[in-house]
Amino acid sequence: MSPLTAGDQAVRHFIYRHFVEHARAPSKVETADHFGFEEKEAERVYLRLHGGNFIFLNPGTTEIRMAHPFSCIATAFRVRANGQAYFANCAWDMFGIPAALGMDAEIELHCADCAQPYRLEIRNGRPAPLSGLVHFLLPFSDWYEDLIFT
Amino acid sequence: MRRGAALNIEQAWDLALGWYRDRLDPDFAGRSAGDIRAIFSRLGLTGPFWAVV
Repeated sequence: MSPLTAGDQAVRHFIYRHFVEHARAPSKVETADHFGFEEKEAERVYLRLHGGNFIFLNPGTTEIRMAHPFSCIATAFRVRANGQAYFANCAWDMFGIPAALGMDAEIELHCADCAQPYRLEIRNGRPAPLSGLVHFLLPFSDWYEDLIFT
Repeated sequence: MRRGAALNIEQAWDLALGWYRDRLDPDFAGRSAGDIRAIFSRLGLTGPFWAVV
């Protein structure tokens, strides 16, 4: 992972704060307007952040798909916290959102195996109920080969 | 056929805490391979599946 410039770091943090406050990623125009630069520069920063695995862009575009653990698209993992309803990328990331926020949360999900709906909570910093498993199909060494599949 | 690995709910939560608790920090700058190994190791996630290469 290459080190970030101060400017790229500021954009990375802006993207995350925007997600926290609005439950969605900022558009390139919103990012450009916030920092007072051109949309093309926002695209260049997004591409560098993508290259460093700080965010994930939809393939072939400069549109943000993931700012891990947040998802820009609807998924089977919905996390209610901070007065917002966020989508997580996967079963692990549904825990990643309250972990990142440092907040309790209510989680609604559909089991990837049986498609049954489930509810989990993070209360006082711990999960409940404790029944269930989180399955990782790919070994860590393969996680970043195809993040959508992962 | 891949079998993968399964974590129980507490393990998955603890992994999420280790991985994401500093993600919103303005200074978060990613993780080195050593950082990742340390997170996995603390949770007992060892072996080829969790190997950081």
